[in-house]
Amino acid sequence: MNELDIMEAVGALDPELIKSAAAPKKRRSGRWLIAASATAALALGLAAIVRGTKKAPEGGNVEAAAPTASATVSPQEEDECYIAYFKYKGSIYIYNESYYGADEIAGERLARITNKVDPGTTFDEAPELSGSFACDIYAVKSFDPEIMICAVDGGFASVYVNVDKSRFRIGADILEGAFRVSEYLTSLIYEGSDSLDHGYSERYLLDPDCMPAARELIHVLDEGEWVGPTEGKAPVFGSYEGPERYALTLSLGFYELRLTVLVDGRAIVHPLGGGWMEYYLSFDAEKAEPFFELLRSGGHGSPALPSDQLVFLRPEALNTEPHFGAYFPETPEGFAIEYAILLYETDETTAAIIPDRVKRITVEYRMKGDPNRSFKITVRGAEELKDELLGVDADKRCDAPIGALDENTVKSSSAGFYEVTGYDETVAVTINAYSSLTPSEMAALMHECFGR
Amino acid sequence: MDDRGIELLFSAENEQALSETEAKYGALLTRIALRITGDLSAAEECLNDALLRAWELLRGKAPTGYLLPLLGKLVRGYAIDRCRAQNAKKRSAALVELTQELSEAIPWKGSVEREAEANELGALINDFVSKLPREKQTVFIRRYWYCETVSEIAEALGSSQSRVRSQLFRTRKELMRFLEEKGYKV
Repeated sequence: MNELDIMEAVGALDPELIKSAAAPKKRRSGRWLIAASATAALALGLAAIVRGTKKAPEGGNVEAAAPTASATVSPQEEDECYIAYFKYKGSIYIYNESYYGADEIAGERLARITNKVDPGTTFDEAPELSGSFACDIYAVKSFDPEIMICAVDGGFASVYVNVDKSRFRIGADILEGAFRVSEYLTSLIYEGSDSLDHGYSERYLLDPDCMPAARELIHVLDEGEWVGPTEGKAPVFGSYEGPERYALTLSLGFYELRLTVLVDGRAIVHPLGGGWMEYYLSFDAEKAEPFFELLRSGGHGSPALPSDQLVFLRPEALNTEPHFGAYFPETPEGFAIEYAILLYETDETTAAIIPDRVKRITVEYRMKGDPNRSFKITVRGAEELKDELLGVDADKRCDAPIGALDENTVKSSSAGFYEVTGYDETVAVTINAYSSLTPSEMAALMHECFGR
Repeated sequence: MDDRGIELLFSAENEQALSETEAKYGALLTRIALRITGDLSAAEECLNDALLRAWELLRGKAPTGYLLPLLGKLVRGYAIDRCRAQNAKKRSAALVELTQELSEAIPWKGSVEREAEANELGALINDFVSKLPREKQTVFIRRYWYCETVSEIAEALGSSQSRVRSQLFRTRKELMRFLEEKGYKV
């Protein structure tokens, strides 16, 4: 056994875990919620207009924390800040997103950036052609270098956007002024009332007869006013809590623009809010009500679910999920649902979920105020459990028919893990706790699962 | 093209599957192999080997839904095999860094029962990782399976490098305790 064998052993991870880790994830943090100008938001948004490029492959997709636009916070000033940036012709360019297919994106070489920036240097103080890294920078084909510039690493082009305050207009002209939505809008995809951070539980291509309402919504949004993320309303990005919301994708011919629209009159344009930032605009919710009503009434259109088999469930829909939903207990006091994932198969033609092919649901609960303490409940068909029981660790598992299960059957380890699986004839329930539940609490929770 | 579409091409024994796979995952897989081998031409050969093997494994078969994990496992395997065939001094700096980190949690000595031990260890690591909270899981896998650098992980997750380093450090300690608890000894 040597170090290469250890690397090989790590390679034996469950494919499901590998897939899960490849999906880009965005986090939010209060530390990022620094008031920022809408001009910078617009600057970041423009990065969505990268024509004819492919997004980076899974695992290679790099979605960095978006910058503060105050132009006074250095990457070194705040421990939680990680900002890739450089200064070019007096303007600060901030990392926005990486795309695979550098040959299609990178144009003329512009300059060489050095990373000669002292700790504590503000953006304003940063020397010309310096930044948080060293590399050559290139123009982005078809774009003015005053708007965006890219760096190239292997097959990837990392796009950086100019956040100079004076560059862009402020106000309610983003959708029309920057994206020319009414000119380019070809279709609109409704992605369920969910958050970007957690994917979507539904996905529909809206019927053409929904488009007038969609255009009216865009008009209403365009009349809105950009506000910062700390304007007295709770952040919504990546959170299930808060008012009803709808995730939408505007297909604008050669690029897509993603929005989350909240019925309380806020909307987030996602390319503007990478990383932990939340820029949103405030609009007249009453005027947008016809569109919301359209979505609520089921006037969606045709299903457009991807072939990807993992979807995220809304917590409020968890218990009514027809296959395993009834087995999930009430969320224990002091915990909140972090995410709920349903593994399913879809029909290749209609993209609809095949009812008898729902394989399992996993829900992670996280202790409020202590993100390191959590537990997961996985409910799956007993048949799938039998397959697992044939595996190498079958004799070490802590599985019991539900009637025979008590706190003594909970498996523990000094690393803070507890695990137990109970099953009946059709369903198996596994609880993994990480420094958050005692064996007796787990056993009680298990009985609650089967008692519902 | 999405993974299912690519796998359907494999199912239909359509060689376009290979070009689509390379277009979608070529850079990512090459990067993994490059981090392990430290040699671009070797990494590209690993990619070609992995694509050919994938063709053998997937052609005419129903889609698995695990295209990327399969490709990644193949390319990692080929890259590690190449390293084994080389003098230890030629190992890449990235690989040395990764294995040094892992050896903090997984002490090892030379053993004649290398394969059996690696299999047992692999099952234990999988067990450990599957129980981690999702964020720690993601950081661990991106670091030690995808061979990403700390800065790449930080960018991908919208986190800071110091936070990622701290998470990795804690996770390695937890892995060490977990392995001890499971009776894994060198």
